[in-house]
Amino acid sequence: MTSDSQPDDKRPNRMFSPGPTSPLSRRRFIQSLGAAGAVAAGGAALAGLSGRGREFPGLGTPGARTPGSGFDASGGVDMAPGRRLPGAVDGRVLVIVDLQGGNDGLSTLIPAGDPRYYDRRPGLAISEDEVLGLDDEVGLHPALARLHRRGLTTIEGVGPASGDLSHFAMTERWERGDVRGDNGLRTGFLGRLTDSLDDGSPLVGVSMAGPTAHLQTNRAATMALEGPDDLWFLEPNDWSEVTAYRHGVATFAAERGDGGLVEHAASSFRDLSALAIDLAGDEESEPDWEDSMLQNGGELGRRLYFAADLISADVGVRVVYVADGDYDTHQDHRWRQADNLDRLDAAVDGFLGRAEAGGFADQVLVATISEFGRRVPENDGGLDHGSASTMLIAGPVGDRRLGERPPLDDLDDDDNLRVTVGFDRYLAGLAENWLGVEASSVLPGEPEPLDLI
Amino acid sequence: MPTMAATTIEPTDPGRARAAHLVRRTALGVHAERVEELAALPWDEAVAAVLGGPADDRVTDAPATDEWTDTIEWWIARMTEPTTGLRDRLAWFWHGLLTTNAYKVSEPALLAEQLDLFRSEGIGDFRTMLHGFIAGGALLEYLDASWSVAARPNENLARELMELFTIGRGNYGEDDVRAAARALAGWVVEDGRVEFRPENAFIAPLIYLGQQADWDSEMIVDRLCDHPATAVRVSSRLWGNLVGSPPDRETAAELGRWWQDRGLAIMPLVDRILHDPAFADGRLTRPRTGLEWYCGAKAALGFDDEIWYLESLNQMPYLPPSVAGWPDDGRWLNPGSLLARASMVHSIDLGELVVDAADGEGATETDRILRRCSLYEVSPETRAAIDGVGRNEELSPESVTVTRWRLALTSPEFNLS
Repeated sequence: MTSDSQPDDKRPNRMFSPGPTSPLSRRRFIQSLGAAGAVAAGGAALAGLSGRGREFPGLGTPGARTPGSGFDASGGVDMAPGRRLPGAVDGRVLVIVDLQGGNDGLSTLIPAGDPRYYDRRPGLAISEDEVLGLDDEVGLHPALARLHRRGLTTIEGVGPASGDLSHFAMTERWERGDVRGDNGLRTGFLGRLTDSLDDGSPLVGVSMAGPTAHLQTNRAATMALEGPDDLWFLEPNDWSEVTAYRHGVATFAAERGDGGLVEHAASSFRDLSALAIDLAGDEESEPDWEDSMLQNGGELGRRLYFAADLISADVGVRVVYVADGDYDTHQDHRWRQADNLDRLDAAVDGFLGRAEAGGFADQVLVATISEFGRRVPENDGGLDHGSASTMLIAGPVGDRRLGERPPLDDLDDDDNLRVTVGFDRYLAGLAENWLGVEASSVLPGEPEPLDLI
Repeated sequence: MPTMAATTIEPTDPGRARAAHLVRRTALGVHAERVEELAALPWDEAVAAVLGGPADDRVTDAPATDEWTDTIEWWIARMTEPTTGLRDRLAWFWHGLLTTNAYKVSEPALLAEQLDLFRSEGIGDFRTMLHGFIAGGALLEYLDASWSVAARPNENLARELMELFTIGRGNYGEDDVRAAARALAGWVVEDGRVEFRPENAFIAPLIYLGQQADWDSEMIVDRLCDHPATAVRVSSRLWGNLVGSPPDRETAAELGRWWQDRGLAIMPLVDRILHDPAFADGRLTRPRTGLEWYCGAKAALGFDDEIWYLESLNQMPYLPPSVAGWPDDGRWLNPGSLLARASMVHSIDLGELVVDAADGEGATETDRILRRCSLYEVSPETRAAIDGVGRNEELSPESVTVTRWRLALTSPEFNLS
């Protein structure tokens, strides 16, 4: 793939460690099944199949090292669930917003106090009096007004170690948490976090951006859901054809006493049906998207709205992945970046507002990622692929400036900002400071966690 | 690892249940007519018929190459034809082991070339296929070997070649990765053509796997094919795919030795696995993968190509989730997969298809649908679910049929292989 390929239409974006789901009143629901562990053991603990630790005999064990079996997995962090740190706070949720295409750090946290910024960006620089919360050196893009009011932590200089300019390759590094691109990891960093937080809940990790390698787990239950409508054919409604299907599924879902794969499929149907019913219950609270599309941050806002529903439904969700992307601004950077950040601002602000209203604001942290930043010198109205970028954290955090600002007068050979903070240190900080998962158990190379929170 | 008890469901028709199993595991689209043909034969003859392949199962035309998705559409069409057998089944298996991601390949023709290789050599011998695979432009681009220069070689291909494609972890060290990376340097893919640039290559003695020589790509591939671990890993993986569960350690070692002695010829290995009692006994012991389910549904019902559904089913050919390919195990059976499959049968228009397809042999409509789906081992709950459609709802006859089909295609049993 060339370094200029567009992630929007070309990136593979799918999740295979497909995990399951099931619903909320589900602890009660699961107890009523009394079926956990009913299957006679014999091999693979494929907890990911059900999210509740059933032994599942006879099939290939992910991570098992049967010589010659062809199922050998990578060692180390790819295999065992990460360790929780003593004193970790339970129930916290990490929401990752992936700014796909490569977000320009210099148009996010703007070095408006630095004349070199205006030298380098004569056509695209944002003037000093527009930026928000300017200290002596930097301030936020004007589109981030709502998050600025809430308090936004920024982390500058974040990126891979000796990366390149390919969307594909750099996205893959972020997906795997593989800062140098040399670890051959098979699971995603978010997948490993999800495994570490797996308490047997039916849905621990959820992607709101379709299946994704970010959430590839070894064990834990994950699922790609884009909205409550995804389960429409399992929800009670007035359409008799759909009702008939739903009744059929209820019959499938009956306990079989078979103990084999048919029983296993039946239990998956039970989980799905229960999830559909839980989500259907929330629909009355849905806003009118037509009216509020813009103020809610468009599609990103809609998905985060649904994420808030899922979190408040207490289904066990601990890791959420959502993506938005028109950040690959080779052209028309100025207005596209403003649109992008405006959408981000509205969507995350709306999400945090719902979290406050729902009483779980202290339990959710929103953190951005992006495969790379953008070129320092501008082309004709746009910016090409870059290197280091600025990450954002919103939620129960203060208005802080973290990371190490890459100098504007010491660029790399491609005229890009030098990476001053390996992105693994950023991810390590999210794992340890927020989720209480020991960073070295989910990231290779023992990165030193940034003190984020 | 004990093999799972097949299923406690009593087959309604043991002969057809056995034949359906044979087709599910050796083809991709499962056509009722093919099941009928094979059910009429004793087991050994049915297996022999599969190994011989239908007469017209040959490479008759080359895949289209304007866009890589044309190649995939062409392949899916092949996979779901009634005559499709081991050629495409094995090509699909080899693609899952010897992976490539279309997004990293510059020219669609390079992917088509690789697919041709899997379809022609995938029923030949492993060594020839591996040589072709490693020399192909698609793989060289995918694993960053194109433009790899010996002075600072890219290690991606060298590592995966050993870790995933052949001997596996534990059989090489980091020094071997570095040495192999140098030996593999010098290849360049430009404008869809593969060239060797000696000035980029390393032409001097290297120590690789304990042996000093002027190693080059071909020697590396030959050395790895000679390594006993390759025969063990690859034959075990094929066993797992066909039988439904991996072989135990002893069987794996023995199978590997046996295959090595036969020069890594593929069809004798398939022959041996299909004749093992573990294969015959392993009915419904593993989930259908996303693509297997898609091809099964397409063969049963004959809907038009809608290949993008394979993305939500998590198994679009040439878009593997990582270089390790797709899981080949129980992870396919979970609510997420079932949701994607149920979504698909609700979004494609089944109207006319099901009315046609529900004609035919069988006492009731449920029997006819189950037969089209090649389901001869069905739990009472599943049968009741399909049969009971319309009993509690006001439905037109067509809606009853459509709903029955939706249920059959998403039933627990149809999700199994």
